[in-house]
Amino acid sequence: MIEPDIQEKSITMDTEVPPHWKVCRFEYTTIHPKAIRIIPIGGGDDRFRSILLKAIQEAKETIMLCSFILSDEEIIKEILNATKRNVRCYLLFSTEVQLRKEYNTDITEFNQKTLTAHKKMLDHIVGKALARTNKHLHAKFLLVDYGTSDQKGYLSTANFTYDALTRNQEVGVIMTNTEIEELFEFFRLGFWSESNQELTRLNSWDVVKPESLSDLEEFTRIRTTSSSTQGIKKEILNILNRTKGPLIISSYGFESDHIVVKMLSEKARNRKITIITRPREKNLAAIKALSNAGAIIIGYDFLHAKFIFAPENNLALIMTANLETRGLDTGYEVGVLLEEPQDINELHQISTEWIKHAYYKWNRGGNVQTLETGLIAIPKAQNIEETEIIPEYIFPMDEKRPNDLLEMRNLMNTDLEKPRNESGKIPKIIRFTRKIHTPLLPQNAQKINSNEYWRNKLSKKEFKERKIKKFPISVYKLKKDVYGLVESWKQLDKVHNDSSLPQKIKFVTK
Amino acid sequence: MRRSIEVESYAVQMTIFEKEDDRPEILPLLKAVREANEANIDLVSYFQEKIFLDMPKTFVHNVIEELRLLGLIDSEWILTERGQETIAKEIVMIPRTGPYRLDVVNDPFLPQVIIQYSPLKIGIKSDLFRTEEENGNSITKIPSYLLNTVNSTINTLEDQPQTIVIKEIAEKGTYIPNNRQINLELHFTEYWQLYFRYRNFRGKIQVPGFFNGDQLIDALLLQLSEQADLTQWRIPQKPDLLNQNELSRFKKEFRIKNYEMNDLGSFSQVKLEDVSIFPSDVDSAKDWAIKLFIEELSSYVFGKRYANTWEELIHRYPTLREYEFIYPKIEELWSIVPFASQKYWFLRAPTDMRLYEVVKG
Repeated sequence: MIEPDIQEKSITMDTEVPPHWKVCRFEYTTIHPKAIRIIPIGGGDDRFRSILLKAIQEAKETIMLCSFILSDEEIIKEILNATKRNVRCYLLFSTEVQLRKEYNTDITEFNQKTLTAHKKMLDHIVGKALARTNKHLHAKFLLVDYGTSDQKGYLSTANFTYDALTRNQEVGVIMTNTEIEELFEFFRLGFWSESNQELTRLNSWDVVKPESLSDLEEFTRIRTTSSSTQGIKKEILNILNRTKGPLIISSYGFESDHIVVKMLSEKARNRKITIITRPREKNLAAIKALSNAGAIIIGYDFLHAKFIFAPENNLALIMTANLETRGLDTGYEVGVLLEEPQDINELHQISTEWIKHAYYKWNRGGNVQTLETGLIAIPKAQNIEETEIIPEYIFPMDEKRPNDLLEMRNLMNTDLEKPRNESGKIPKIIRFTRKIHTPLLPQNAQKINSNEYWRNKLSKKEFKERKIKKFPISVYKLKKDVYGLVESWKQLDKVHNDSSLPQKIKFVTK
Repeated sequence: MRRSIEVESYAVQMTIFEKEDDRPEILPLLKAVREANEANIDLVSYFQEKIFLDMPKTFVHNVIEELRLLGLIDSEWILTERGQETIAKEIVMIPRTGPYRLDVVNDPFLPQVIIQYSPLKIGIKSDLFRTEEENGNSITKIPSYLLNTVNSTINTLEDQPQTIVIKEIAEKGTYIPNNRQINLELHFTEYWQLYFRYRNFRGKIQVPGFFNGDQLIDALLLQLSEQADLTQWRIPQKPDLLNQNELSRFKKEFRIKNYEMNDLGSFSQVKLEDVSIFPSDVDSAKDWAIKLFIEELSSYVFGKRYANTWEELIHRYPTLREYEFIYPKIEELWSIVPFASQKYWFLRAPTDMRLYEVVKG
């Protein structure tokens, strides 16, 4: 009996996986419901948005709002309602040109609907509120009824869009009275000195001459970037240099060439630094450098919060600037310094939860054997390729059906080739098998003897002259094919060179 | 000031002196008469010697008689007043008698009664000479103001005015119905001017000497307001009755209908343009100033800038300087301008967002 042959092989892979994001979780849970002053935003948690809406609804005297873009329809509606109550509304935005630029670079943060809503807002507020603009206005904050006993102030890392205030990972801060005072001074600066256009009529921005204000006193609680200050950058460098122990930094954008990012990389060699960011192609260079230096990098799809936090030093700065030139060196940005234990504690809870439940963790890559299994996202030139590291991949069995026992034997003596991985995954081990089927005698083949065979093959004269020997094995014929039936490999060895057999005989078995 | 005056027309028999251009010999004859009169020389001899050489005396007598009939010399062969006037003006007026149509008005502003005349081509048998019973047309007594034109010189009011002297007018004539009117306009800018329009002709005539324009203006201003300031010809006003143009120019237009001037008739329409106006009291002055301030406000104001803007405004309007008032606090203006208008922000935003003046140390 000649049985089919089955061969198996497994290979331990040594694939080099490029740097990538490890996908950790798919759900974001609402956290920290008892936050008093430092309010997390995101994952459907819209407490901060509700707080803002309530403040606007209750405004009696003034509303002063600064945001890169304003498109949350409910906030807009409440501002318009406030104007009907004769509440004086002062608004600062970036220019439409700048907004379109941002739209072209990051459609996840600004889409066409957002831009359209912002434009519509401008059409509605003209003649009701006073709006000014300049391309570099990026800060996000709200002051309500400043100067009264009911004054309220809020700083936000989120723009005033619905997505930012509900979906994104952001942070909002309810400001103290001292902070409100300083924030007002900064709004004053933004309105009178940093703006260069004012909305006077529908679709018409008039150029305004910036006013020079008397020298502002130095801020104690807030830090700012403006045409004349780089307070946020100074404070970040101060924190980096003054503190020891771990650091947690969150930012939407990282510029690898910036001195702050370079210093972070340097510090990461000796300190535990955790970076929370958004997987973006623009951040890649910085992420790689930081990761190579030893920083832990986690990510969220809609991370937009910006802060730097030294938990063991009870010091943090929540700000509206990203770690980029535009924001730290130029622009109009604001941040608030946190030192009080309650505030530090609240931020600590937020950042700890975010780190714990991170969607993504950056991995420097390497041999697949050193990596954990699971989903990963590999940044490519124009996009992110999602794939998975799996423990083992078993290829479907490779089956061979030789026509002839000699061919079967050749196959059996050939080593298995590693198949091409078209699974779309990265396995640590691959297994593959090959089955060689035994060539069998076809059912309808007819047995023939040597005389019958040769009589057909030779001429009369040749047949007469040839000494016809009996076939050593049973021979069959089906159409033009001739089959020799053997029962064992031993028998095959014995007969396959027998000259009495037809030349083109195929050796088969039953 | 405008009024329309009805023109009356009459058909009347009269004798007039009309300018004659076809008698070039008359002027030299009159000059010769003057010379003879001055030299106390017999006129016949003088004519014979100087002009009508070798002409018989009867001829000379006939010429002299014609001059007398024309009223240019009297019966003593001395130049009459008209004869002297003819030489002086070098206009020969020839008497004509016949039926004429006269268009007449009786208005104190018009220097003459007859404004136009034209000869009527009618025969002695015409209605003009028939009695009331004979022709059914009304034969009417010619008004006395028309009869009083005898011996007066009239320049008609038309494109090419004609000069006539009325010598004689019949006491009765025929009234010709018509609906003609003459329109008068009395203007004052730097001086008084009187215009008329009659049929297709518009012209200017001298304002009568008795007309006292200053008194008229005084009277008109007092008609508009008893508190009119006649020394400066201006009217007190409250600013809420004025538009922006009036507020900033301190001038206003007024209209009076059917204004009655003593002895000078009534004017159906009086229009007073660019009448100077002034605030009626201190409060009005302040309100006036506020309106001007708000209208002219074109930038953000606060503190010293606000004060300077006020000072500049008062300085630019001398009339306001006559009043002593304190300009309002900026807060007072917030409730005056419409909420959220551009002016509102100019006033409010600097307070809300403390726009201080520059002092960079």
